[in-house]
Formats: sequence, C-alpha cells, structure tokens
Amino acid sequence: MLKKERITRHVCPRNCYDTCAILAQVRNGRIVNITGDPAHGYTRGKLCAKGYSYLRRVYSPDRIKQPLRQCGRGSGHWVPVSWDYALEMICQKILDLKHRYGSTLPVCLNKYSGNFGLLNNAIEGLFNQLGPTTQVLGSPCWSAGLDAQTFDFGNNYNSNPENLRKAGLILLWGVNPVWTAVHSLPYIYEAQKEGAKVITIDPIFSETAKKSDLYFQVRPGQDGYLALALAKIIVEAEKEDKQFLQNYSLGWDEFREYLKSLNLNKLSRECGLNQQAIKFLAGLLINHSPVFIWVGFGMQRYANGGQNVRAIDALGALTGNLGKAGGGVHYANLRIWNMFKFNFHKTGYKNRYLNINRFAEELNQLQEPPVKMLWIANRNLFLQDANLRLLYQAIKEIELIITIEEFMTESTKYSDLVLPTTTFFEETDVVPGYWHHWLALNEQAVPPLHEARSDLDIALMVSCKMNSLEQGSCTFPQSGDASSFLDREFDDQAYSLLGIRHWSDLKDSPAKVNIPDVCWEDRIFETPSGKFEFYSQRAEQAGHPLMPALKEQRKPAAGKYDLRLLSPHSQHSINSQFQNLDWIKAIKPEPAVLIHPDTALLKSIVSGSMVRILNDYGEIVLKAAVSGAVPRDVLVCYQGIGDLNINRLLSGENTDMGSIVTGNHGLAILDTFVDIENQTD
Amino acid sequence: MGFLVDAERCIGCHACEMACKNEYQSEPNVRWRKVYPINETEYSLPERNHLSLACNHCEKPECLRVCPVRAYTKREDGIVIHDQGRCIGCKMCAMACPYEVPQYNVRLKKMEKCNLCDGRLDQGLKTACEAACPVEALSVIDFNGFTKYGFVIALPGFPDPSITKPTTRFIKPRIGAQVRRDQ
Amino acid sequence: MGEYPLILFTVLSQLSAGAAITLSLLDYFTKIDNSAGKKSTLVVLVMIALSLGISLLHLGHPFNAYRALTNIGSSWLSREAILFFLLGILLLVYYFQWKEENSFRKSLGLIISVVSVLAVVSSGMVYVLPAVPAWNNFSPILFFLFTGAALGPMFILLMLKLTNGAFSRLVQFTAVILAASLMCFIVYVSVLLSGSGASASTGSQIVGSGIFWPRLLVNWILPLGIFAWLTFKRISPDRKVVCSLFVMVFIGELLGRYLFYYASVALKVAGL
Repeated sequence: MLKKERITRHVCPRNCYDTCAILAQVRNGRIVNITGDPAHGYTRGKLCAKGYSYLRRVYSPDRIKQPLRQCGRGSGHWVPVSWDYALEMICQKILDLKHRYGSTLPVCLNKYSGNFGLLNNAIEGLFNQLGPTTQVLGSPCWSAGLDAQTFDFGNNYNSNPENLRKAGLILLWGVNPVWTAVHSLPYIYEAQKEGAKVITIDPIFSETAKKSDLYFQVRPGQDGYLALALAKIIVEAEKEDKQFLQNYSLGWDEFREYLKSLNLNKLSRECGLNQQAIKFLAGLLINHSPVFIWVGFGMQRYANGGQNVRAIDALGALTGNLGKAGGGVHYANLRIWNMFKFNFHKTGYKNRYLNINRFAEELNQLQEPPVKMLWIANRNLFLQDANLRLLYQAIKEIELIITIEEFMTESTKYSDLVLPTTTFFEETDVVPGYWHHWLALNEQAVPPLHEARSDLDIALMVSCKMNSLEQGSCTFPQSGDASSFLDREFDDQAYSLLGIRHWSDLKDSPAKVNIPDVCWEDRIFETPSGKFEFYSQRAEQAGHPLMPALKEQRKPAAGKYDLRLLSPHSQHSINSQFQNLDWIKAIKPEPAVLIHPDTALLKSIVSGSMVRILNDYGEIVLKAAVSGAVPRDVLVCYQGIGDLNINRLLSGENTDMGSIVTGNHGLAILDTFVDIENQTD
Repeated sequence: MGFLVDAERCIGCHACEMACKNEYQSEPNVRWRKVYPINETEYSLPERNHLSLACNHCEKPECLRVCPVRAYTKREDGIVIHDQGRCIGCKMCAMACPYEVPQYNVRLKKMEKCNLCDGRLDQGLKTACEAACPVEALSVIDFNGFTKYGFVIALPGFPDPSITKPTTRFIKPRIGAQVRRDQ
Repeated sequence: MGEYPLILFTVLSQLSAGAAITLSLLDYFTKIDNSAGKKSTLVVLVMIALSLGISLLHLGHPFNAYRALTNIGSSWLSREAILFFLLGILLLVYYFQWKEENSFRKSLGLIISVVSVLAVVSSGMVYVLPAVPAWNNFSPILFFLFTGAALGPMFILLMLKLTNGAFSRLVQFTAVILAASLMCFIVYVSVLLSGSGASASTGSQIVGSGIFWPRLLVNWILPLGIFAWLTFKRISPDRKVVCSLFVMVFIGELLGRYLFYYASVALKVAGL
C-alpha cells in the first residue's frame, strides 16, 4: 500500500520564552509523530515535555467537537448546536444590545495569551469592527518590568539569548529556566564549560538554583534592595565602569549620591542576605565579565516590582555590562512582535478599555451602558483572573457569555455558548516570540478536526452573519483565509529582516530575524536623552520615583495572614493549559503547598497533611509538602493546580508600573498573604 | 548497550519521558521511561535531584528469569527485549524487577517496557529519549568500546544494582553552594 | 480484581497438596476404605483443577496460559504450573486405582507425595525475589508448606470419616503444625520489624494492617486454645469440632495470604 506521508512545519504558540519549532509527520491525513525542528537555530530540534504531549492534545477524546450551548449556566447541561445556530445567537444578541443601548459598548471581549499566533488576534479585530466595544487592556504577567526597562533603556529589547554562552557570569535573577525555558540550558552549560559561574537569585531554591554554582536566597520582592546593595558596594570599591557612565548614562551623579546615602545594614536586612554574602556576590560581579543578567517575570509581580527591575538595570549599567556580547540585563524582546502592523486589528472606534487586572471590579462599576455580553478568547478567565468572588458577582447581569476553547475548562462552566477551536496543527499562522530571535511558521498539517474552526475563521463567520442580519453592522472582512491575512501582515521591511521573499518560504525553514544580536551594542538608547537613564523624567511623569529607588514592599497586616504565598509557574503547564491531558497528569505531581520545616512544625503540619490556605478573598484546601526549598515566611504553591484554583486567594492588587507599555499596571500576584491551618484539626 | 544518565546535566524536565510516549503513543498510565524526583532527604542539603530511568537492560535480568512464557530475550548487544506477542499478562516480571520497569497495559492486558528503541537503533537512529533531551543528559553507550571513567553504577534513590546488574550508568550531580537568608 | 485469584489459588492448591500427601500416606501405611479413598481423590483432584482455573483469572490472557509451561529452565512459575498440572494427572491415574489391594497405587501415592511437596515448594520459590526483600528468603516456602500441612490432614480426616486411632494422631499433628507456624510467624515478623528499608516497611504494614489481629485470632489463637482446652479436659475432639477448626484455619490462611500479597513492599526507585 502506498502511504501518503509528508512533514509539516510548526511552531508552538504558547505564552513561553522558547516558542519552539516543531516538525509533524503526517500520514494518511493523521499526524503520527512530532519532533523538534532542527532547522531552528535556538530550539535546535528539541521540545519540552509539554511539547511532546501535543499529539495527545490534538487527538484527545476530550476535544470540544461542535458548538455547545449550556442550558442554564453552570448546569453542565450541554446541547450540541450547529455553527449557524451559534452564530445566529451571538449576532442577534449583539444587534439586540446595540438597539437596546444605542451602542455596541455592552459587548465585551476578554482575551489574553492562550495562543500567540498572529492571526489568533482576529477576534480582537472582529470586535474592533463592530463599533465601539468594551475590551480589556493590559497584562497580568510582565507589565511592570516592561515599563521599568522602557524608562531605563527606552524600549524592550534583548540580546539573542544564544549570547548566554559568551557570558563570564550568569545571574539568573528570579527566573526558573529549568522549568520555563529549557532551551536556554545548553547555552548556560556551554558558558559554564568555558568557566562562567552561574548564580541563581530567588526566594525559592528552585530547580534552576539546584543547577547553579551558587544560590542566593533573597527575601521575596526585595530584589531591588539586593541590587542597590551590590551597586553601593561596587561603587564604594570604585569598580564602576566610569567610561560608560560618563558617556552613555543620564543622572549618574545623582544616582551615585543616592547610593551613598543608603545604609548597607538596612539594605542587607531588607533583602535578607548578610553583608558578607552580598560583598562576596559583588566581588563576583566585579571580577567576572561579561555579566549576563536574566531578569525573570516573577520579581516584578509585586507592588514594588517595577522598581526592582529598575534597580537591577542600574546594576547592569554601572558595571558596564550593557551592550556587551554575553552581558546585559535581559527581560523580554518586543522586536519580533513589532515587525507586524496588525492591520486587521485597526479600529476607527473609541473602545472602552477595562484594566485586565481589575476586570471584575471595573465590570461591576460599569453603568452607562453595562456589559451584557462577554466573549472570552484565548483565556481561562475563571482560573487565571484575580478577585474571583467579585467576578462571579459581576457576570450575573451578563446575558450571554461565549468562550472559544479546545477543551471544557473552568471558564466554560460559566459560559452559555462554547465554540470549538482548532489546535495549531489545524491552521496556518506565524508565531512571534518574545525571547529568541527566530520566526517560524505553522503549516496546516491536517484539516480542522471535528467542527473546530480557527479564531480567524470564527471572526470571518461572525462578520458574515452580522452583515446578513444587518448590512454594514460589521466591517471585519467576510471572506479570505490565513494566507490572504498573512500576505497583508508581511511587508517589505519584515521580509528584509527575515531574509525571505514570501512568508511561505518559512515552510523551508524558520528564519532568524536580522535584528541586533547584541542589544544596545552601539550604546545608543531609545530614551528621550538617548542615554541609559538612571534619572528618568518619563518615570516621574508616570508617577514613579525619578531614579531606581527603594520602594517599601507590601507587607502583611500584623498578626493576620502573615505568610506570603508565592505561586510561580509550574513545570508541566503553561498557566492553566496542558493540565487536562492524561499524559501530563501522569507526570505532574499531586497539587501541594510547600512549607518550610520550621513553619510546618509550628503549625503541626507534616508532609501529606490536608491544609487550608485562606485569606479574606477565599480559601483552598490541598496537601502540604514540607520542604527546605522554601523560606520560613513563605508558602509556595505552583500555579496550574487545576480546579483547586489558587487565584481565589488573589486580591487583585496591582504592580507599581505597567501602564506605559501594556496600557495598565500589572498584577501583583506575589503580594498575596495567607494563613495556613491543618485541616485535620 | 545501556543508558548513560548524566545527572549533572539532567534538569528533570521529563522531555525524554514524553518523547518516548510521543514516539510509541503509549497508554496514558504506561510509562516506559520515568523521571523520578528524588527525596530531598537523600542528599545532605535540601536538593532537588532527578533520576531519569527506563529499562536498565540488566546483565542479569530478573524479568527474563521469571517470565514463564519466554517473552523476554536478551540481544547480543545486551538489549533486553519484551515480546508482547508471547506475553500472557501474568505480571511476574513486574514483581521481580527492582526498578518497576515492566508495566501492565490495561487495554491490551499485557506487560510492556522500554526495548531501547531497538527499531530505531537498528536504523541507525538515536533512541527517542536521547534525541529529545534538550540538555544532552541521556545517551546510549556501548560497553564494548567503553573506556571512560567517572561513571557510577548507582545514585541515591537507585535500588541495589547488585541484584540484576543494570547496565545503566550515571554521572554524579555536582552540589552547588547555597546562601540562605539570615532571617 | 487485584491479587484475589492468587490468594485463592495458592491457599486452595496448598490445601489440595496437603490433602493428597495425607491421603497417599494414609493409604500407604494404613488401610483405607476403597470408596471413601476414591471419593477423596476425586475431591482433591477437582480442587486442584479449580485452583488452577482460578489462577488463570490472574492472567491478562487466560487462554494462552499453556505457554506458561515453556520456561522451566529458569522460571519457577513455569515449574509450579507444570508440577501442579502433573499432580493433577497423577491424581487422575490414582483415582482409577482405587480397587482392592493395589501396590501400584501405593507406590503412585508415594510419587504423588513427592510431587505435592515439590509443587508447593516451587509455588514458594515463585516469590523468592530479590526485588521484594520480605520474600527473598525461605519464608514463602515455609509458610506455604505450613498452609498445606495445617489444612490437608484435617481435610482428609473429614473426608474419610476416620475413626479414632488415625483421627487423633492427625489432630495432634495439626496442633503441632499450627504451633510451629505461629512461632515461625512471630519470628518472621520480628525479623522484618528489626530490619530496615523495605523489610521494615513490610513488617509495619503487616502489623499495622487491620486484619493482623483477626488473622492471629482465627488462624492460631482460637484453634490452639481449643486444642489446649480439649487436652486439659481430656476430651477427644469429634467431627464437629474438627470441622469448625478447619473452617477457622482456612479463613485464617486466606487472611494471611491477603497480608502476604498486600503488605509486601518491593524495592522502589527514590527510596521509600
């Protein structure tokens, strides 16, 4: 028998540093195997465990197979409906609301990062062409750090992370690449082999800490104090890079004076490390070059998070590591995304934007007009949002909730209509990443399974239906396909950066984007002054201190909820994704809260005890695991514990920065304070 | 032939295990390769270590000894092969293996285990797990051309190798320094 | 279904082996009524067939069980299967020899005794596995033999409706066996508990299990107590007493076998 077999190229669209390129082996219309794509220069033919589980996701028996209508929200009584019925239901509701309120503002979209495919933004494009709508703006993830680097450098660029291999010292600061960016490890190991020291600074003794030469345990959220202490020691030893500071920085004199005014005792006390340890670390920074500082997203998820990042930027600057191959302070890279113009996204309407991190609160307060229809896309809102109690309250007045999903989730529970969507093996798209400097294509390996439709197709179908019900009610295109949309997204500038003639050339190989391999190599920054700004007027205008200055962290109220709950990313899920797959369930440890042995003793808790974690916002009950990996005053519960829903405990407090780049402040997820009780008492 | 597990490089990411599953599309609860988190207490400091283990293709395989239907054979190159065609699902091998290697497939009602990707090796390919490891911590070594020193036959958490003489070899993890908070 | 088929198979097959030995030795050394002997042989034969049938339920593919006879070179499971199968065939032949004085039957009886012992020993050897430290010694063999020795004689005694002389000797023998197996069990559990790792865990699993005390009670304490009381009162036990003793010990052995399978801790990666 002649077997029809072909290899298709893919790229993982998850919210992750690595954005890996994948090859799929397709036989007789079915994907039979996947591997990493060796043509991708950064991920080099390897995937992570989640990546290798993708076939189970595509062919899962649990996929949503057709549009489903829930008769009675939360009832679990699902009735399959035709696409036409579903579209009719949606469009009638939009038109009804438009006529009732004289505006489309009661129609609301809550979309985030479930799928970073370029064309997965089509739903937003659709909303932007319906009239003025209500949408969320911002990011719960990385906002504060983006602003901080914007104040200091003028933009968010990183060096090609392959430069890790050239580092003399690698500071993995609040980042856990062993879990969240495995493809960086070979470069770190290469550097180590060449003699580089690898240091992890983290409140938790993470897997990355385990793989490092040295681990420094910093008090959660006080990374800025440590950075300033290091800066102070280095400046006092006169080991700062005077040439760089003189020529390429703004406000150095003022910052030096500020450093002088700081008290090392206080800094040491606040960051939790003794002076000897800090001095030792400062010595390493002085004696090793270049220093590659990788600033994780974790440390900026505090009310003082942006300041933490600014302090670390300043440390990188004054040690002269900016613009060096193998050096620098790296947080995220927006250059690849910025290649695209998001043409299908443009709007002529004045949308009403809600802060994504205060969604429930703002939804409750909206009156003129209230939100009456909510569309959830690329998001598991009811697991990943903060202040869930308010959210449950807020949706009571909403007449129709629609969710686009691959699987039934916590959020579909609260939906009236669920639309089945494709996995990235069933659609054509490109996925810009935010860390490495490569761009790869998703070919369509197989036609959409069951009745699933891509986000783009859903947007096109809705537009068609809108116009058939009321001509001109939606100006989003009614025809076209992924190819025609991609044709409009790639312009000559993008092609010249990619070194290709047409995006379909990416079928032959992912392309390295021709952006500077080393960021800020020319020491020309994109700040108003063109220099590295210790002293940022823009920061001051946005209501922040001029300089990277100490900012008191949020502390627990005395006597109550005095344990800080950290909920970093787990090893085997991306936010809420992947944890529904049986393959992943088989390797994922049972949900547990990690507690320090001394704290456990105090609370009469042993490994395996059922414990209740609670605060004013909610409570969860799960097993305890006693571990020396966490500090005494901290509980750690990795997120992605399924329906236990750790976000019930989040207050929804915001970070100090974030409004410049993402439009709103970030979410201070790690400023969460709780008590723990032994449930068996 | 046997696996060399470089515990110094291994990051416990489970890519090897999942790549194995992807290659053979095995049942959800059947894990030919498993990444075991090792108890903190196995090391002097609260460490996080892992052992990535599949079949150890032992020199004295207990599975082969106890199997009543001769489903197990040891190839000339040392690979212990389980022939599912012969297996009657008596689970004797599962009881006898000190490493929990043979596992019961509830759907087929037979045992199964890692055959060291014999099919792939015979085609000159790497095993699925080795090919997938993002940090090159796994490899298959040929004991005939084996000259390198510095390998150990067991690490903390690995059951007594004297029973079946596993061919798996390990490279010990280095233990880094830790500076803990004062308060 | 778990290990229930194995619990039933091992206890029943050991009971049958013990019964076969008792029967053939009684036949060799004493005189047995032909029809009673024939009937007993048939019952033992049926029990062996039944236990072998039950053992198949443990397999994923019972209909391919014949293949299990193919590795006598190294697999004790193969040897066990062959020996019990052989025992069944010998008993079948034995069954047809119950007429008049028959020296062939008596010699066959001796062979049956030897095969029975070997079959039970090989059953025990199946579990002598280095991967399960609590089993990796002579204990599986010893306790399996005790099971056969405790249940077999009582069973035959009841089947043959024996009269006083042989009856009381077999009852005394059973009492001695029970006392010996209790002592061995106590020593065994103490050794496990004083050990480390998997052995110690097995020990504490046995003692901590909810059926540890019930088992001690019905398997040993009650039967031995009854024996002691009867001896003290110089009452010779009747069939009813032996019958209830048999039921107690049989239940005790089933409970014991459950513990044997479920309390045993194997070596594990990453320690305990």
